[in-house]
Amino acid sequence: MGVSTPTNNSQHCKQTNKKRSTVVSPMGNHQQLPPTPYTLTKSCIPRVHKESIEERKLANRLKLLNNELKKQVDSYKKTNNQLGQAIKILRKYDQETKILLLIDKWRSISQGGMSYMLNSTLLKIDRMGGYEELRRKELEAEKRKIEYQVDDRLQDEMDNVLESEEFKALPDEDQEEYKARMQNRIDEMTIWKEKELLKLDEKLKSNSEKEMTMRELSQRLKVDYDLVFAE
Amino acid sequence: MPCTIELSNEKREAQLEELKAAKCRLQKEFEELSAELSIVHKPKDVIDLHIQRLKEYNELRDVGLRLTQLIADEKACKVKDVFEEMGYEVAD
Repeated sequence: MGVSTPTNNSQHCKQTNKKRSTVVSPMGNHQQLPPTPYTLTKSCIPRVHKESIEERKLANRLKLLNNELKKQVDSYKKTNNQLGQAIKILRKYDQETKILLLIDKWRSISQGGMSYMLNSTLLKIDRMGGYEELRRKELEAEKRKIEYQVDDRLQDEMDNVLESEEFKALPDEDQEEYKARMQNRIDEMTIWKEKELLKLDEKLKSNSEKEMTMRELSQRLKVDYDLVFAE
Repeated sequence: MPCTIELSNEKREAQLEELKAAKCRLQKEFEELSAELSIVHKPKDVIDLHIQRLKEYNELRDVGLRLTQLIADEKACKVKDVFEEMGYEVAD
């Protein structure tokens, strides 16, 4: 009996311990869960956010500095390049002097050439009856050119169309419209021709020059007058 | 990224120092040459003037050659003869 009693007590104690541990474990887990995830979340997100902001600021500052340095480098390169080229020219300045002499030479040749050509042209003009006669002939040639440009082809073309079977087969309304359109074109060309011919007549009358000038000759020969006669 | 830019900046700063030193040397040489030649133009003006002169020379030469050809044709002689008559060599 005495032996039996202690055994029963031990079993009872064990059972009690088991129950307590079971109760305590869930409580422990419950207490630990809330703070751990919350703490991690707090510590991670703000830190990453701050770092990314700081990094971005730093990157921007470095970029701005980089751009500024690049501008300065480019500016110095340009200046140094100009200095280098200018120095090359000055080191061989006798070549520069030579160019100036060559400019004088070719200007003299050009002026001499123009002078010869002017004399030659004046002689030719005299042989054909004088400067006014030359201008008159030139303007007459321009008139003939205009006359040719506005010959009667348009009228002939219209007449041919009007006499064609296809045209006659058209409704009267269409025929009248076509005639009006063609006549309008002919009228416009006639007006243009008369205006151009009038311009040439005025040009001949108002011609103030009595002789071929060096400037006019330069223009005819397609020579830059101001370049040749700069001095 | 920041490291790459920073490295680039360091290189550019070094390059900038080199260019500044080069400018000082070039500026000094330019001023010495200008003094010797009694030239008061700025470097860019020296270059521009040089280009302008070359252009003028080329244009005048073209005109001169074209005119002497016209004259030679009219006279039925050689261009060389026209130059000799004017007292010039064709060369240059």
